Amino acid sequence: MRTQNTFGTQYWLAALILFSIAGFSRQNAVAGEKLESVESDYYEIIRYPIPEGIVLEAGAVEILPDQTVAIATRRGQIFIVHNFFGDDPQKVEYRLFADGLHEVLGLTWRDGSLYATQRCEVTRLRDSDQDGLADEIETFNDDWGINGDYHEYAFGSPFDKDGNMYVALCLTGSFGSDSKWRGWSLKIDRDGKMTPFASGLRSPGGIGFDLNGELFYTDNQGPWNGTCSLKWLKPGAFQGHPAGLKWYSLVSDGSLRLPEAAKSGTRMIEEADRNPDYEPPAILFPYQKMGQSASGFACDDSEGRFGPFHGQMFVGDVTHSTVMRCYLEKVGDHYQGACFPFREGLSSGSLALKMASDGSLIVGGTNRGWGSRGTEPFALERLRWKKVVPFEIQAMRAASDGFLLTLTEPVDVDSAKAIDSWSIQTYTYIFQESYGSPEVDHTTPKIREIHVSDDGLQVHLVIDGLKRGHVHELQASGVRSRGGNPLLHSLAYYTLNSIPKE
Amino acid sequence: MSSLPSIRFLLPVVTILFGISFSDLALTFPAATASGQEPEAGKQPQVQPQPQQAPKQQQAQKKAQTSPPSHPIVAGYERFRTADARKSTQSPQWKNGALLLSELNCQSCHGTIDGLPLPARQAPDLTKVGERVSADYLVRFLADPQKIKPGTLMPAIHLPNDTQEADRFVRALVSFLTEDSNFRPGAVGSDAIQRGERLFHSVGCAVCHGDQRISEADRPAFSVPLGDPAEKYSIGSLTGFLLNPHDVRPSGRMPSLNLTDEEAHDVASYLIREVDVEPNISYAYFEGDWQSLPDFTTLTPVTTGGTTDFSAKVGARENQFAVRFSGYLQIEEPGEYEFSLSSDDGSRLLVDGNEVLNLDGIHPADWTQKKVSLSRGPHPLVVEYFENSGEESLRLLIAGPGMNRQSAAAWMTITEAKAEPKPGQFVADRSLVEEGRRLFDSLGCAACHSRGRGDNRIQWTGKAPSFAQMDPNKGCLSETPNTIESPDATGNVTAATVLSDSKVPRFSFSQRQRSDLRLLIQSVTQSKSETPAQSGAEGIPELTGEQRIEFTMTALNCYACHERNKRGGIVTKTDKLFTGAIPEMGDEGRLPPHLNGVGDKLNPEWLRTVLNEGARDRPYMFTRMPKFGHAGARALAETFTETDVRKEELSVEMPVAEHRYKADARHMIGDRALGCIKCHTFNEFKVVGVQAVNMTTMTKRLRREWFHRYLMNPMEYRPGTRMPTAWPNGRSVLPKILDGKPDVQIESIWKYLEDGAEAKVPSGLQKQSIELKPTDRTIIYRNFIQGLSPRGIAVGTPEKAHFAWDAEDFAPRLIWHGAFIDAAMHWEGRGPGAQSPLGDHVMELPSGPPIAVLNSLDSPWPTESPRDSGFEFDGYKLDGNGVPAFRYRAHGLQVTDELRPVVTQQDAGLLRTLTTSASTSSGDSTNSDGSTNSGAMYFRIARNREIELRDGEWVLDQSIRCRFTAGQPLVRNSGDFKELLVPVESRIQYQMEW
Repeated sequence: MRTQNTFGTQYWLAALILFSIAGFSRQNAVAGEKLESVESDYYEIIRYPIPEGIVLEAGAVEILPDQTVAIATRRGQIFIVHNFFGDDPQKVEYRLFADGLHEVLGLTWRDGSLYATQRCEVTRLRDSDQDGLADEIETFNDDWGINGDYHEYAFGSPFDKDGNMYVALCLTGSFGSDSKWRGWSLKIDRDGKMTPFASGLRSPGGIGFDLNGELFYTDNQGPWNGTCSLKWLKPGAFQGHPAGLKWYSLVSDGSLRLPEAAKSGTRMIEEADRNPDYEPPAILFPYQKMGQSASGFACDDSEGRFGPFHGQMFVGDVTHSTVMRCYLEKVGDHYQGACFPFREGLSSGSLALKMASDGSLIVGGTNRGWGSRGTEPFALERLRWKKVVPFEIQAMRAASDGFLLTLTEPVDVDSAKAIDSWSIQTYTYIFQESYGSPEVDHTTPKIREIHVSDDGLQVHLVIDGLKRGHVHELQASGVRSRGGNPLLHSLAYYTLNSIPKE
Repeated sequence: MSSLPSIRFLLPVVTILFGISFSDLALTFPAATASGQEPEAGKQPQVQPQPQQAPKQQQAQKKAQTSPPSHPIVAGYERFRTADARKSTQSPQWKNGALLLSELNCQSCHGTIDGLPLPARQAPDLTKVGERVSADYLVRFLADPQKIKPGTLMPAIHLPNDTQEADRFVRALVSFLTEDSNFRPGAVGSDAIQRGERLFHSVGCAVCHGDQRISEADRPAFSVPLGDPAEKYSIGSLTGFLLNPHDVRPSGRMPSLNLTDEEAHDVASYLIREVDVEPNISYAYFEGDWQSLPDFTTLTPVTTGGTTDFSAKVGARENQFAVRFSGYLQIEEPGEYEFSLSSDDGSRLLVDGNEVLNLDGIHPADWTQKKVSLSRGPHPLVVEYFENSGEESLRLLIAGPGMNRQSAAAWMTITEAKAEPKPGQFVADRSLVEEGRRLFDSLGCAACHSRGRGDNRIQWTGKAPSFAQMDPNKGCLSETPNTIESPDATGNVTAATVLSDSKVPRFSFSQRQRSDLRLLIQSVTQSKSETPAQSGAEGIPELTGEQRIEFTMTALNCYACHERNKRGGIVTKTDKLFTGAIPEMGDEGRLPPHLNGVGDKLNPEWLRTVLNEGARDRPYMFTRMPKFGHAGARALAETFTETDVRKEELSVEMPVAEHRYKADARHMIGDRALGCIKCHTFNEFKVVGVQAVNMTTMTKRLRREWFHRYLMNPMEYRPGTRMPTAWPNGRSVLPKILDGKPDVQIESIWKYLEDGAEAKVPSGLQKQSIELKPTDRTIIYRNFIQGLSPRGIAVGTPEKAHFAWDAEDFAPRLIWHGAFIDAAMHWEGRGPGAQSPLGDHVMELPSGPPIAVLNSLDSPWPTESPRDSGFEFDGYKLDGNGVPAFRYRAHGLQVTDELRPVVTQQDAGLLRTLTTSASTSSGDSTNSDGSTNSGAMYFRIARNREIELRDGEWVLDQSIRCRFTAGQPLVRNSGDFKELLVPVESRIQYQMEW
């Protein structure tokens, strides 16, 4: 009986600790409760009414030269939204432009035509008789396979400066590539001619460009993807999932070299070291911490009209109904960078993102087939900066000895220099053929020195124990602005594929 | 404080990774370093191998020579011995010995020992061993168990040194055990072997017994040896054992996987796949194209011969054949027998010249059953079977008195005479039975094995020293057992002499096992002296709940599948054996859950049910939770509860009445709110993509308090899970429902789910039809249409003449009337599958290519896919009513294909206009062989069995009428079909009515 009693004591001790933890997260909850309202002090969400009868499961968004907005839906319709940028969102008007298309997930405008990426093809739509309805539905390119599996989605990019567009083709399910070019990104030139561009994709959620016109796409947690990520579509590069490699047999002109298939059970960085064809993700979105299904994205090219983040990428997440923020930098020959929470509380699953020329961010939502925190089945929304600068980590750059942070407002030097204001841990994911991965290989580097620039906008964290290939999760909960405000988002996740030499 | 949550979070993760590799590594040690004894060949009696079994015997010997010295394999011991010894401070030193003691059932001779958390493992019940196990196998096994089945827990019995004498002992024992029994080896079919192999390596057998497709060296060292089932069992007896292992082995170490009759038969077929059986059924094999069973009396067989199974694979062909099997069914025990017949295509069964079962005709495999009374003796039996095309299969099963459902083939003979034993086959010697019975007691068999149930059980009359009295260096634990020892100097009776004639069994312990057992026995003696209050009771120290759990899980080998508190779980070498039906679910869909805090998670009743009955709560997971069904498992369930339940008060005040909060819960679960049903099964509703655990079973399985905590933070309980929380940071994403209070919302869901099968179905599961109705304008529906390629384009018209045009075939493939199409299949959920037209009068039109160059009218229509032969799809143009004109390029032509509804007296028709012009753009190839100029170009309008010209209309199969207004149609024969072709002109037009 004695042992039993002892055990009982241990038990209550454990329970006490657990309750304390519960208490702790409850405190967080209070902070959390404020978060949405605090975010809305800086970025408001304009929610557009959608008339009864329209199922606006937004798969793609484009802004037309007359400042109307084209929304393509998963039901295969394209609506032109009028008065979108007017003062009163209630006054928007939806006019059907086309229907009968097959789950459109890409929409872009050129020379009087809309180019829609359907499951089966890129289609050029034109209203030749100017009655408001498309009457020429022309196949622009359909050089890829489709076999009837619901998972075989096709996402289309905007046009690049040379007039090329790119499609990102989901695999057949998570593991296979049963139709031609599944698991590939294809380039389609101005004349509609297709060239295979990059392989190894799994389940893209969006494809587009950064400010410099570099092509990126998001991929989702699953085989060979421990968590969701933003990846650089370097021409000819292999993105990790080997299922689509079989289509190299169709590349007859020798323009692409068959990459070595990935090795399961390793780490992304090991694979990148072993296999020069493999391009590791530029930014990992830690699973459940940042989101669970990365989707469309838009680059802020608004010259400050969207706040202090010009040039950064804003990425949607369907499950969490959020928009995340990404700071990308090129270190050596590859991209890497940090992601930050940015805005939660979208009404449905954020799927299609588009930056408007007025510096607002259009977010089209749908949660059909996959759950989202936002409970509306579909939504059309717009994020607008309220011209108040939030106290945020504007940029996070890797340095040879740590990280360089740029803040949007000067920091309170004492709080920034206090070692307790910061904490950092690192981890990565298993690179494997089975689905997903837990976080693994955790380490806790030490912050050795903290330097603050005279203007208070730069903080240099000198860190012992940087871990190449790991996500560096930085928590800056103790940092205050000169005005005494905490950071709007004190978490940052930097994917350190490479440590700069200098 | 802030670091605590992350540590809690971290540990399981680290375990997943490192727990695997460490334990796996550790486990390679015991085999490598264990110093089990070589069998002392010189001292062992040799039973002369039977001549016809020589090859098998040699094989077994070879195995024994190449394998490391064998010792009894207790899986949990093999796996954890090294690791447990390392952390000896936490883990009492006696633990490994106690495990061995329990699993080898030392208590059966040496008396009880208190404090073990579960009853010792009982040796197999031998009451009907003669029906279950081949006597020849028993003879060889008894002579040297470790050699015949390396790793067996069965010790070698002490046999006389004299070889002939030893042989007689063994024959006496086996005669006694198999007297009057009815063991019949049967053949196994290749289909069953294949199915069995898949089952064995997916439902869980291979997790404990090792992957049989790879070499022994590549399996974990803790794999439980299978021995050679083909030598030991018959197909019928092994099937029976797999169905009810607890009948023979009541202690549940071999759990039941709840196999169905067919599954058990398949796994058994796989395990005895090397069985070698003499032909015992005659067959005659015929070839021909039949739609039903032919009259065999009028046919001449292609081949005849003997076979061992009623199998569809007896002849050369896979299609268009028939077989007639015949022979005699040998019935030993009169009574009612049930025959089960299954075939693809037709078959029938005749017994004693009467038709018993009839499955004639062309059909997929299907079962039919009938009971028949049969007397003792031979019964003429005939099975007739034919196969036309496609899949082929044939199975005949029998069940009856003392015979579980099994292949009837085993009980057949070619002639009327009863099967004679093969030369050299062991036959029970009645004169030795009595001696065998005595030996069963005197050699100590009866101490462990029951023979006879209840009062009829043969009692062991021998004696062995109690644990407290024994000298741990002697008896079974002596380095050299079976040597006769004298009484010691004090005249005390030592362990070795108590058992009459020093007939201690020889276990072939490894050095390590011996030392662990010694350690235990010493510890028992010490504990006794330390706690005089408990004098008289021999026991191990009192265990904590967690220690009892650990001991039980080790003994039952739960750790093979489940991890608990960083112990056990899947290792690299077993990882591939865990698979699931939904790869999309990742590890959650294939790996059994960890058992950390399982007593907190599952309610006590469900825990008991799971351990007693097994479980299939995760139907997507191929590995099954087996049925342990005995007292030890029940105790384990209770200990889980006692140990794990987190004591807490959970009271939730519901702010509104039950009917209101249940409605709110129903809303929350549905697709308009949290969308739980987008992943979770809900009663009979299953989603596509992920099929997580059925929600309406949750309240039956889970503890309410755990459910509350889990929903707030799933990742804390299942690191890496895809289950999101609807209450991130303790805040509801539904602030407007039930005041956004998390505990109230969760409690509502719990209460709602308690309604189980009665719970009202949440939104998003009952698919509402989304009928697309073309009222004033043509509707285009581009999606997956049944019967078309995935590039289907359905067109619905207000006139209700609809069609589906295929952009792979470049032609209309379906036409129909009435309702157009239901889009719900594609517009609800993820939208899998292909949809059929909603209306009626659905007619198929020929697949592509629609246009071809023929050198002559005798040239066959090309079958190459149009895209591969250079067709290019250009899309379509819509007219003012939205009617599309499809455009494509082929053979240097630009083609437009337009179908337009035409109102007629009856249902509307379709007016099809094909226009061609020279293609202006490049890229559209001429014929691949450049034959454009050498032949003529045609459109193919129809391909039907019948095409007739009647009153100026071409009638296709009596159903579609085509009236041409432009173009010169002609009809030609094409095999069994006719084709309606039209030479290419700039414009061809015809109207279809149907």
